[in-house]
Amino acid sequence: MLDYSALSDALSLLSRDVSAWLVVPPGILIGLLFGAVPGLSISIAMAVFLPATLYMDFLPAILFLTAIFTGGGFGGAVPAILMNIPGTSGAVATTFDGYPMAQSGRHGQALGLGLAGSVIGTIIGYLILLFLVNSVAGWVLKLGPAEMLVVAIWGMTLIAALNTASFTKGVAAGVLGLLVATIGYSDTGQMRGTFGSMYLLDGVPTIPALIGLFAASELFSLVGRDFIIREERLRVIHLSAILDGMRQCARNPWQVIRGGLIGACVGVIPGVGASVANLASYAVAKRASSSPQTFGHGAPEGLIASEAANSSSEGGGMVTLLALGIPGGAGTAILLGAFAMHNVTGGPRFIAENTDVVYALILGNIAQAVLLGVMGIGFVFFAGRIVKVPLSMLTPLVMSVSMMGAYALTGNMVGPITVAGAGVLGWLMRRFGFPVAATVVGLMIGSMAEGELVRTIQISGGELSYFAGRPIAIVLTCLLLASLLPRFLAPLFRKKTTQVASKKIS
Amino acid sequence: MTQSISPYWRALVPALVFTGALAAVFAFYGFDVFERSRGLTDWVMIAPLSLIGIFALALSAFQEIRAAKQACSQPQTSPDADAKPQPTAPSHEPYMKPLAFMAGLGVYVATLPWLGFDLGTILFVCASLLLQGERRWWVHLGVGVGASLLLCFLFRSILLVRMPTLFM
Repeated sequence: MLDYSALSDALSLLSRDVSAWLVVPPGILIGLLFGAVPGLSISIAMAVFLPATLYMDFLPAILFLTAIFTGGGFGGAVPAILMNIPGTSGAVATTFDGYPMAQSGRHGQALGLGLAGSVIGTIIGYLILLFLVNSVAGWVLKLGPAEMLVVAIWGMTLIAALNTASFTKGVAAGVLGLLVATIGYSDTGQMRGTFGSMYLLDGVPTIPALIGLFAASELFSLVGRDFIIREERLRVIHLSAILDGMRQCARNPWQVIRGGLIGACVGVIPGVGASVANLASYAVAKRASSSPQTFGHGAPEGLIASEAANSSSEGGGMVTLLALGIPGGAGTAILLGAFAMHNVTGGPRFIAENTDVVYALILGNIAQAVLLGVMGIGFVFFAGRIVKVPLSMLTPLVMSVSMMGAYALTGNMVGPITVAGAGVLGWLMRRFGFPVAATVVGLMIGSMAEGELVRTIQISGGELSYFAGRPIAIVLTCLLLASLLPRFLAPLFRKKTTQVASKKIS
Repeated sequence: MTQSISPYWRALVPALVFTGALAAVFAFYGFDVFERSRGLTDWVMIAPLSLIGIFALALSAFQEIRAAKQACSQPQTSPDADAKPQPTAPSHEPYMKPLAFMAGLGVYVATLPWLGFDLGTILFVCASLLLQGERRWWVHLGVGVGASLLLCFLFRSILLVRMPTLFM
């Protein structure tokens, strides 16, 4: 599995090349800043700084860009915890329990939990990459539309798992997201829901819609309030609270490892990255918990699950990039650009001929994760002071940044218009008890789900027997059903236990 | 009795209007896609989802109405018999200031192509500060003007985003 001689070469490469380490701290800081600002994304940061890597050697260039990736993976958690606004799509599930913790004055602890979860999750993701990069590549190539369809259906079941309100409202909210994701040109060239506007031909832009549904709607709700935390005595951030949160995370190793494994596995699948990984890990943690009713009200396990998964998905995404030369998402697409700038092509030959460089990249990223832990403590200590800023100032400024960021993403007014429209919709949904998270899940997986469904129908000709020849799809389906069974059997067990208890009493 | 019924129904009406509007959107979209489709693959996901969504919304509306009826039919048991019953369906958080903020945001977005992000953001931030009760001139100068210009500078000159501006 491991090439020990290449590993030794990698270590000497990293210890010899000082420039590879000089670029990492600024990269992490850039990632933290861009991830922490709603409207700015990690991919924007990587795209902006990509030209700066032109004159660097290959190893420092990639380490710099992956440092931005690593920093951004946690950076998104900061506004998610402090303001209920995910800085990145990978921090959506972090808001579910991080924000309630912040509102009760435990923001320091929440930030510490998220930081430790991110650090350990990143390490887990890259360790998996280190041991499995060669063997996983072959499996990824076997994933076809049928397998991806099962993954998409599994993603849709997250809608049910995340639903804390009425079941019917959760379903309706999820359907809304799925339908909005189908607006624009279909895979067969049909125009849907565009109303003749050429700006909607590519569909509703996902990130601005996410910013609107989460950030803008939350900001609307905050208008008129004084501070994020109502009690003045709780509006402080203590280093001890942050460290306590990190220690608490270390005391829940199984939670972190499970989140890390889920994130890495989800990250390996092309097109499905941190945005789904955090939700999937959260849903699994909630189902597996002995007290699922605490989730959504400040449960540390939920926060750990989300952050561990969104950070470990980075390592998973690097598998397809290094082993196949295929980008799994926007961030890895930019990394591929950096590869091309240095005349490097990812794939099996690259790994075979440059195993020491691949190992150096992986070990360098593991070291980045440790450095994130150190730099992150300082970052959250200062970022946590945002709770002292009056909301009268914070709300319009964050809204303006979101608008500018949305414009930067789309390059035209579609971005800001989407943020505003989605914000109004999200506010109305919250007001009438519809879960916004379900709509966001639908939005993120909708186009993928339809695309894979259409391709599966086209390849199979509508024959169900097609699945008999797809063992991976069958295994994934069985796993999906197994994960859903407890939800349906639990009420039956509860009823039986109640009946037995009543009989004993009588 | 009339006084105790009306808050529940008053709160329920906006919820039902929203639910009905969503259902109408689902129906329109699903029907439109089905009508324009050229084959199974054009509507195979959208049409069934629209029907599921409409059914879920109908069920949700039914549950809301039933909950409101149950709340109205329950006798008042609290010690303070004159206390107003709380609405059940939507949140009863204040909504006038958020609505005004949303209106301001709408004006901000609509005028961006002409005012630019620099002037538009200054006006939007200052208006928002006024809406939220901020009257100190130096806050408007520092936050409204200073921070807005700093943000525009950051996006336009540092991040090189080609966003429309009036004077920057």
